[in-house]
Amino acid sequence: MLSINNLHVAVDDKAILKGVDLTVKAGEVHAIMGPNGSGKSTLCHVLAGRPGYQVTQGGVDYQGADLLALEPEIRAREGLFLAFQYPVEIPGISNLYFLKAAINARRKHEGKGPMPAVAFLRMVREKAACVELDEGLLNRSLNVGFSGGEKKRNEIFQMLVLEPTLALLDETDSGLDIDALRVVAEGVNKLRSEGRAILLVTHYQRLLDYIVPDYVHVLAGGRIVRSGDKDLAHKLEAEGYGWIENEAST
Amino acid sequence: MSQLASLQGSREAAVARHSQGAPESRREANKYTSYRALEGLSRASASLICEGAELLDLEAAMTRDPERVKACLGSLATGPWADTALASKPNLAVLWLSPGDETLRVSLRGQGAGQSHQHLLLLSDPDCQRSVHLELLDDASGSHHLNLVIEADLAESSRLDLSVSQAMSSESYVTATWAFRLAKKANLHAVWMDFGAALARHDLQVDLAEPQARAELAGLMLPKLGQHHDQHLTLHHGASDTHSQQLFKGLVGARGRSVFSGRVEIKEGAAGCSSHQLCRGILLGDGAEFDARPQLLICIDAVEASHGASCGAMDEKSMFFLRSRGLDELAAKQLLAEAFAGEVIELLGDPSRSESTLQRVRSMIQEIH
Ligand SMILES: Nc1ncnc2c1ncn2[C@@H]1O[C@H](COP(=O)(O)OP(=O)(O)OP(=O)(O)O)[C@@H](O)[C@H]1O
Ligand SMILES: [Mg+2]
Repeated sequence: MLSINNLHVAVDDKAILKGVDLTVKAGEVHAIMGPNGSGKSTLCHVLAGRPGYQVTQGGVDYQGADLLALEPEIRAREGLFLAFQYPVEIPGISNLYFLKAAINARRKHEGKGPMPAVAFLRMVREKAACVELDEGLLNRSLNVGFSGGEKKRNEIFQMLVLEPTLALLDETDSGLDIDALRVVAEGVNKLRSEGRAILLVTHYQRLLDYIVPDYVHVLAGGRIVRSGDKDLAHKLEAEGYGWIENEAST
Repeated sequence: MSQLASLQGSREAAVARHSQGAPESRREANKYTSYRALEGLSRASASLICEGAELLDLEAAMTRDPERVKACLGSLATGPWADTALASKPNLAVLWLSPGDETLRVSLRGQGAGQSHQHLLLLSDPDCQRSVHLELLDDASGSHHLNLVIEADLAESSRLDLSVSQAMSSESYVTATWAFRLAKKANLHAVWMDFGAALARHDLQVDLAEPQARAELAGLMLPKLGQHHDQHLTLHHGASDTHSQQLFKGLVGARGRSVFSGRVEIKEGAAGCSSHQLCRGILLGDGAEFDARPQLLICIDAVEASHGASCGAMDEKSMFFLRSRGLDELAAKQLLAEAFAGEVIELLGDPSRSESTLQRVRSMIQEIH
């Protein structure tokens, strides 16, 4: 589904990703861990198409298409979803109004008409319940005045509404209390299926108890320096990143 | 008729001020506005229609309350364009507000090429509550300059909800002086929206003259392609426990220009008053300009006053967020523009007018996209 090949990315001429290789197949869940500033969010942003990054080498294939050549909205309509590490607050746009626009943009792309209002509301209520998102938040301005946890829940809620083929979750677990973590993880697990893939960035092994990954990768210094299964996450939790950096330097 | 003659005095004063010359950009208050295009226009007319109430002529108004009319006429509004209008024998009409749920709809439409002068006196009786929607238009048959003076005297405990929508054709000009005097506990809630005209200049003069008067003022300017929208506010807190809120926004297309100047004067004796001002601009293309000049003059301590101004391009993070959820660039821009303008639009408190205004915002974004 996704194949990242020797990806080099710079911001303002500063190299951040220095040759990332990663292949994700349908049905798989990959976790990416790594020290602060190693380039995890950069990778997510580049995959989602955020302007301002220079791809200096390499490329990304998504379902047979050159992902990096697509506008961000086309990527989204083709099933890519990024749950932001820092969801933006947009005063004056209600959650629901925005979601309706998003879902109808996707449907239009698929040659379908706009979703009938009643069906939309029913679906939205159901998905909000999945992540125990307070319905009152649906009519509020997008993320404005939401608590940190509510913002993250809202991201997962939007993900469930948009039903992506490939979901990128950038530290969705950070800032969640223990109950919220479970709820969010259950939400993500609902999405798990044969046809979908999930790439999740996290600092904490705890999330991986709930969402058991097929692979765990360590991104450090702009490259994937180690890959393994969920046991790698346990080892990192216990020992930190030092040993990998030592191994890499010897 | 001798009463009418006594009004002559204020007109003569205006003539004297007017003869000092037409408004020039040299004067501080006009620093950002050039009136050169307005020189040498011949006299034209404008039609004034009011739905929902009868407009009175001066004689009829004088019959009703001569003292009040005399106290207001020609003496509330100041400034060069007001003087020009008052000195030019403007069409004069009086709108005496009576209480009612229905919004009064006033339209002023410039006719043909040339310059027209209109003077409208707006009077409310104590406790009267009324909504007025005023449209400034022209018939798009040439370059028309509409020069308008509105003097409004709001009596004790009255409330005026005013919305103004300026949608002149792109060759036309409007200069409008809006002067309000608020008596004790009077309430003014007013929104000015500029959509059209080559040049639109509003001088908003609000006098919170008596205790507990309140004003909530807002403006929205949508200039593009050489259009110039200019909203100049002078607000006096002249008595104790007076309160004001001001929110002015410009959504400026390429080569458009928007100016907001907000001068708030809090006088001695205005204890316990509050004033909050916010102006924001979004620049949507090359050569777009938004000039903000907040000015706060406070003569006493212990008041609550704030102002803030910001201006910039559309927020890049928000744009990316919306696009990453599937909205194309145009739709994302439209949504952000709607949200930006929405804060002013919701003050209209009228769903159908809000929707049509949002539609204007969307189509402006589409046009300049
Ligand atoms: N727009 C930018 N301009 C300059 N430097 C940037 C920019 N974006 C990212 N960087 C730098 O790139 C590096 C990688 O940042 P990134 O946000 O991808 O790290 P991360 O792995 O997600 O870290 P964290 O775990 O703290 O979220 C950092 O050193 C960061 O300062
Ligand atoms: Mg990050």
